[in-house]
Parts: sequence; structure tokens; C-alpha cells
Amino acid sequence: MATLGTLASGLGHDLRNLIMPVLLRLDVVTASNDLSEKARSDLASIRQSMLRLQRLAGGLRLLASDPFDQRDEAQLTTLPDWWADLQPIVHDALPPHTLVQADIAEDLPVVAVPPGTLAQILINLVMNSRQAMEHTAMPRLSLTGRVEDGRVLLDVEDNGTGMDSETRRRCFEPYFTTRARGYATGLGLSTGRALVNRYGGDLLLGPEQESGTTFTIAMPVRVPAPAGHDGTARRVRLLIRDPRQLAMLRMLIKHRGLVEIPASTTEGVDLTICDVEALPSVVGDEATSTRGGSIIAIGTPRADTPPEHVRWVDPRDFSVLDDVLL
Amino acid sequence: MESMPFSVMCIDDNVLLIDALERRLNLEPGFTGLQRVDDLAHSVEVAERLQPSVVLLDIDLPGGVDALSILDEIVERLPDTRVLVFTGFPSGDLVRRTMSRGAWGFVSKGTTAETLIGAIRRVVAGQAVIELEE
Repeated sequence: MATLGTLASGLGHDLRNLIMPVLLRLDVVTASNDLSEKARSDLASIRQSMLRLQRLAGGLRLLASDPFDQRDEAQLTTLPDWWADLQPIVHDALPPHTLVQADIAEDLPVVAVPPGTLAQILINLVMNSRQAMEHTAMPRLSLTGRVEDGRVLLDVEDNGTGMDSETRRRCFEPYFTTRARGYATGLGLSTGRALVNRYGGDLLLGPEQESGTTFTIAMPVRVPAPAGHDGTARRVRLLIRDPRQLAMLRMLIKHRGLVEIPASTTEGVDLTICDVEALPSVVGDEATSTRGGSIIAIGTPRADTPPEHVRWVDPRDFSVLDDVLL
Repeated sequence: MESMPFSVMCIDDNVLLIDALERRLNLEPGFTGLQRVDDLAHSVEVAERLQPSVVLLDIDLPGGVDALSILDEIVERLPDTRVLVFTGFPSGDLVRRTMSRGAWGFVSKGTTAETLIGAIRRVVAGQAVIELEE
């Protein structure tokens, strides 16, 4: 599976390198004034196909995500984004007339399982569903995300043949398969469960139903960032002039689930991040200084300023901010 | 309003991309030309000679050429040139590593052409840009 993932990722990378030039050339051709309406319509269709191919390439890249990559960002999945990447692959893995329905709300909590691991588990389930729906007149696969007992559950339901009682009892046993050897290893479900168990999640078989089968991927949510003074997300104000530092800080703040508030706000601030130039106004001037909350200064410590509650961060090493913002 | 003139230098081995980007940028007001680097190992010297407004730097260069060293040298030697990192393997960690070294922008190869052109224009205008995915 790891080798296939690497191959898929390489293919996805190469596809992207080819797709961008095509998209750029499409822009050039579309800008011409001499095109008929029909030609414009054809170009629009080509663009749609290329964008779909681009999303497919993005999904292939997901399959090679390294579950052993310990960087925090690599361990988290925002399910709506993840589904947007993976959707084309799921569609292509199923018969063309399959109805795929997804209810994955934008406000579902971020889950603490790597996107590549989740992709591998889902693709395994989809391949099982494909076989189960082989003779279904109107095949349907539905994905539903929900929150229950502090975990996010993703139900994957098909309307295929379902499982008999022995298959239901043994489906998580390694090497158990209802397919012919050579076509299936019987390791998909047991491996999927082991993978998600590693992150404190689970893969569960849903209750017996009249037709079809439901599996549920249960996932722990990201450990929430410490709450601010009023119990909600920490409120951060940024007094940074360098646009590069500002863009990076905004990315980090969003990633950590913190909320940016206007730079002019002085009340109810949990954290102020400022540059050296703005520091005196933050700590010295009573009219504009932060009341409460901690202060991070980006730059080199100056002998005349640092009060004890200011933490300094080297602008060339923002990685330490990861710990500070947690 | 008159557009600010700008030139772009591509440090990338993808000739298809460079040719297409040049054609597309020709539609942009203020664009004065695209510069290429034949020998990637000498990218910094070429940049010093041509003084582009923006360098589009592929972070995954072939032949053992170290793109991060190129970034460091351009930032140090060409303070008026803004580097826009362009990669097929985007990550938050790479954003931090490249932008804290002085890059002005970071764009994933998974974005659209509009996003790439928009990122170049915004960097020219002095804005920092992070575009990870569509």
C-alpha cells in the first residue's frame, strides 16, 4: 500500500506539472476576441475537465501522506477539504451511474487523524462497496459526518448486497475475505481498523440493515486550543508591519483555531503579537496597551524594553510559535 | 490607473510551464518580460544580472540544486526582488521555512492559473501571499 501510495503521489505531482501550463494556455486562448460562442463553450468545457483532473491529482497526492510524519499539521484533517480532494477518486472507483451523496458539514471539528490514513481507509471501504453493489440496479454510496460523544463519526453506507451473519462476525479478521484469493487479500478492514486505532479512533460495522452495509469511521477531534479569558477561542491581535510575517502569523492563528481581532482592540485580548516597533505602545502606553493577556514580540530582544511578560521570537524561526500558540 | 511595470524570472525546470506562463503574463498590464535560467545552478548570478521584480522559485529543483540556498542568496543580494515559492508539495512547515527566510509568497501547484497570476500581481504590489490549495 505504501509503494502504491508513493507511485500515486508521483503521478499526482507529474499531472499537476502538466495541468498548470494547460490552464495558463486556456486563459490565453480565451482572451482572444475572435472566438465564436461555440468555441468559447468548448474552451469552458475543457477548463472544467482540467480542473477536475487537477482535483484528481490532488487526491492522488493524499494517498501518499505519510502517517508517521509527526508534524502536527500532518496529523490533522479538515474533513470538508479532505472530501473535496478525495471525491473525484471515489467517483472514479465506483461504476459511472453510482449516486454518491456526501453530507460533510463545513463546521465539523478538525479530526486528529492524518488525511492520508483516512483516505486509505475510505478507499478500502469504497472498493468493498463497489463489489457489493455490482448487481444493484441503482447503486448509491452515502457519506455522513456527525459529532457524537466528542468524536467525529463518518458513516459510509452503500445499498449493495449487505453481509450475511458469518461475514458480519468475521469481517475484521485478518485474511478473511468473501472474494476469490488473488482478487482480495482480506486485509482491508483489519488494516483500516488498526490504522485508525493508532490515533485513538475506530472502524465499526453498523447495525444489520435490510439492504446494504454501513461502516463508521470514528475519529478523535483535534485537542482544542486553550480557551481565552471568556471561555471561547483565544483572541489575538497582530501589530506587525512586515506583510510576510503577517501572512504567516495569520496562517498559524487560523490553523490553531485562534481568532484574530482588530489591531486597535485593547480590551479582552488574550494574546498580542507585535514587532519591535510596536512593542513600546503595547507595553508602555496605558491608552493603547493590552489589558491582560500575554505578549509576543517578533525580533531581537532590546535591552531597554523587555519586561518579563514579553516573550521574544526570532523572525527567522517561527516554528517556536507552534508551541507558544498551543 | 497605470499598472506598475514588472518582470518575472522562472527558476524551474518545467519548460512547458515557463512557456505557458510567459504567454499568459503577456496579457497582464505592466508585464515587461519573462526571464529563464538555462543552468539552474547559476540562478543567483542570472538574477543579479537581470534584476527581476519577481522570482518564481520551484522548491523541488532537479540535479541536487538547493532551492532554499537560492532563496537565501537572492534575499541577501537582491533586496528589491521578491521571491514567490511555487511547489507541488505544499505544507505549513515549508511555508514557515521559506517565508521566514524572506520569501514574499508561497503558491501550491494545485491552485488555478488565476490564483498563480493573482499571487504574482499581489507580490509585485508588496503584499505577501500564501495560497496552499484550491
